[in-house]
Amino acid sequence: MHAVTGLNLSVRSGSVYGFLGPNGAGKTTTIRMLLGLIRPDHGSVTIFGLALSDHRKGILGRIGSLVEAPSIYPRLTGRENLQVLTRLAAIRTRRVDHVLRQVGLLDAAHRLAGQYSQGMKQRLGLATALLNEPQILILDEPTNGLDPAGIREVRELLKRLAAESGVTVFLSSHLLSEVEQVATHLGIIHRGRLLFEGTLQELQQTRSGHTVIRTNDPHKALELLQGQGARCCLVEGGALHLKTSEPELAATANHALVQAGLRVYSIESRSQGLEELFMQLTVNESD
Amino acid sequence: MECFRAFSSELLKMRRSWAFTLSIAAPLGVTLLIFLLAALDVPNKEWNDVWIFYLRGIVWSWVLMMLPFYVALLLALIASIDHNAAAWKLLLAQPVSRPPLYVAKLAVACLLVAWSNVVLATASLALGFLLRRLRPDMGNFGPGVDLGHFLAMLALAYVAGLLMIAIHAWLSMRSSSFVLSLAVVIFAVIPNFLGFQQEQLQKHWPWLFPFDAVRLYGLQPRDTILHFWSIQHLSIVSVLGAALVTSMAIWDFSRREAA
Repeated sequence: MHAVTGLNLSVRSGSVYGFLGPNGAGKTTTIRMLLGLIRPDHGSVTIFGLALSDHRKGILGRIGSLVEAPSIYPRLTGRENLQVLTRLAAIRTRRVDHVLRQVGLLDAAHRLAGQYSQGMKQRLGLATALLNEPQILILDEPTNGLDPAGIREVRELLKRLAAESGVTVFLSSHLLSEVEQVATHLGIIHRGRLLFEGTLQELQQTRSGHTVIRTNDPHKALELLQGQGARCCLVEGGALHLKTSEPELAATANHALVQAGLRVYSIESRSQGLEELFMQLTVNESD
Repeated sequence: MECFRAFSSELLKMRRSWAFTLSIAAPLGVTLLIFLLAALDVPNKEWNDVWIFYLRGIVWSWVLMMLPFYVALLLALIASIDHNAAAWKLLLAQPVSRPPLYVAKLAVACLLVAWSNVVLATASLALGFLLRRLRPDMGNFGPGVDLGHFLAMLALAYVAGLLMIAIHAWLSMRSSSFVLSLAVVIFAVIPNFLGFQQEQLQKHWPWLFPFDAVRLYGLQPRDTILHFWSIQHLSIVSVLGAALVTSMAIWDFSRREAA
């Protein structure tokens, strides 16, 4: 049993790549391999076209990372936490204030990191990841343990970073709604295999939406539309689900219902959210 | 160069750390204890040389009772800074080779133990002069402190303790458990207190090297060639042993996976 098998991710420069998968799908294992924290049993890890095993320092020098909970020294101040890394990795010291400003922690830089709130710790973790002016920012579940305000903070920060600094963000998360709001590209992994890779629009194109129709007589409406060959069903609450989000087909159905003397209360076209698409993909794969 | 950078980074982590606090508290504690025992003592007889009685008491208490436990606890505390901060996944993902990371941590531990000896020496002398003022009735304080002899004993104990430091460095880097570090040192030291171990075994027991070094240097005539050679022998075994243990530890650390 392998945690990850034959994974080949294409992350475009400047994009925000959402790396999605249910728990145990292999997301964290993939990220740890990308950072050289664990070794693959077979094969090699290649980033920037270079093998990690042969060019470890060169590659890691161009990557910033935050894997799960941030690594924070609680008895050091925020600034000292960053200085630990500037000293270790020979990073210019003026970067410290720059990244503190970027993540909005400059005013709290003199305080002990142990006194920071969870959101501040997460931002400090992001600051450590940004310290070496990375080309790729690898973030594993960066909003874990944050309250809604903290999640929003991190989300806005990531958007800003991608827009202003042009940094490529590789973001793994189980909060699908979060990824949907930030990512420009997606990779969906399940049981160690990549199920989908592309933009959100490309994903939605592969999966159709549906139209919800409410009438005064749902059973008669169902009978009528099914008689005309439409794929539809009744759902709880008496609504009719027409398995298409094409406006033309919805209009045709509406016309048929009105012609048959039924009263149509509402017609609502719904495209699938990322969450539904994700569930559909991974559940299908499990089956 | 990477070693210096890693060392500088490790030094920064010592700020406000329990490890640094311990490096002052442990030698101060031993010194204060002996000072109080001496100051409150009602001797049956006057001491010929109170300085020797007092300083020897401090050195023996330090190397026999305190040093092994202090080293175990200090190394566990130093390593716990990164264990508790879950910092390995951050440090090992930096563009830095792994051996300098390990060597820097060991170097900081050695520096703190050396610093503790400085604290011990300074506090011992300061409290010794206070003792002379408070208790002139204790006996003859002699012509003055044999500072060279005192510092030589501490220095020899330090060199002889390097193997013990290297062993505990590996142990604490491998495991975040304080219990394991303390269990090892208890297992290693207590039987000697109880006199359960053979003298032959004692001579090759890293946790007793500092005590042996002080015993050889402090109890015997200082100009005896035989004993001087024994101290050299002990020091060489300690240094080479520490180098061997550290080499194995670096090999192990370089292959480590950050979970």
